[in-house]
Amino acid sequence: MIIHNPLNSIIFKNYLRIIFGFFILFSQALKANENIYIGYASSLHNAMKEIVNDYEKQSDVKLKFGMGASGNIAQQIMRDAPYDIFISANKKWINYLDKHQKIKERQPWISNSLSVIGSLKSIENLTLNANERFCLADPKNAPLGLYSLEAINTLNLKIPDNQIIFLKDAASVQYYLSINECDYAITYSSNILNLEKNIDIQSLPLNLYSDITYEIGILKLNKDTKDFVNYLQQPSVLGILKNHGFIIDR
Amino acid sequence: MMTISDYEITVLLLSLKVASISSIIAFFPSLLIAYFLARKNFFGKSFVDGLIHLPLVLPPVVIGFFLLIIFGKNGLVGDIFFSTFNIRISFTWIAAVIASAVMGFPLFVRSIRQSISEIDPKLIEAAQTLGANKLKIFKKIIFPLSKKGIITGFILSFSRSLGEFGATITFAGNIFGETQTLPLAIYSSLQDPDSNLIVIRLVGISIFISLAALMISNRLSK
Repeated sequence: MIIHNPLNSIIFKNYLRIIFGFFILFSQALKANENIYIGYASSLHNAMKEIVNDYEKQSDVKLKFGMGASGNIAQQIMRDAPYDIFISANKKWINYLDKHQKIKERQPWISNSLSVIGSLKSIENLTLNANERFCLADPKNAPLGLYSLEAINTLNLKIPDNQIIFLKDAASVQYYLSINECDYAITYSSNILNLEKNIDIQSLPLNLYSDITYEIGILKLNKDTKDFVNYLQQPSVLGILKNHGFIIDR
Repeated sequence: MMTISDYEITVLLLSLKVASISSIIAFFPSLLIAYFLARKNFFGKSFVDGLIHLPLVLPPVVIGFFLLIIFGKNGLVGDIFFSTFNIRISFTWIAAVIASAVMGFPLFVRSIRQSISEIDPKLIEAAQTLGANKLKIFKKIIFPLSKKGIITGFILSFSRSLGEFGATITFAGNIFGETQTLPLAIYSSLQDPDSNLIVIRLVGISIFISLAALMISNRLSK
């Protein structure tokens, strides 16, 4: 009696070949090690796109990036996300990683300021109607949320809890503002440039909240990461950031 | 440790409220559409069929995005509600209910349709020859014989709602006491390095509720 061995069938062999082929294909893609992985605060997104684009023109290094709330990225790094450079919108999350020995080198970078959006005559006398919503970034992870709460507390604004929409990061505050879902919001002044013109925007005085300092943390020290971090401090790059509404000298 | 905290009770009650109301809302249109899909042939049936199944295959975030476009403050329908009745839909618990109802809808339709199409057509023909009108046939034959599918659909859409995340966070946000259901609360706690214990407890509650729903559905559909 002939016992048919399924492992010898043509289909099975071809199936193995295909799997093997995919494996080779993707392992090649994963092996390219001239990549730098950068995780950064979402408020930097528009500026970073420009910066990364410029940098890739003059360097062989490919930059891959992930963005989100600074706290979110810090926690991804704690769970071994392969970022080489981390740019946080406050010191807190760099300190957090530093405490866990994840940061090899750190340096302060640029600054920012806050603006409040919504039809207010004076910020102090803000009263919300029942169906109005105040958008804030979630202070758990987004530095923007912490700065905003500081400003709200200093101004002693009373906003009912169930009328606050906590959004995950600065970028999503910007998105929900752009579709007019928020009646009020506090966001970075660097994020309001491409909002519609008919929205009321007031900048919040700097003394209402602590200094907004972006910090760069290097997680893997090598020539590529150092070069890029040096590049970030160059006048041309700082010029781009200034155009986007960041404060570059304070 | 073993007592349930106020925070957990708020989240749990809201989840149950959203899940039950959304299932009830989804029930009537599901029954109607399931009936037409199971018993009638009409032009564009496969298109309607596909449309109904979209929430099952589209990323939930996309559904949330569509809901924002329709029911958002400046949305097609939301604008009418907001400007004429001064009612806000997005970012309220009603938005969470709508998101869950839409996500559970295809599951509801599928299971009711299944049991309606299993009904022996001879029964309906016999009723017709005996002079029963359509409404009476529906009440006396179709509805009682598709009870099993209705119960299964109910539990499926209820459970789907308990697990709904993407559409809810996009369309209803993550507001404690208003739209923060169990999965959203778990997501929020996962963002916080100090709340591992809360995550574990919420995950425990979530597993318990879902298992209970499945066991009840098995019991009821026997």
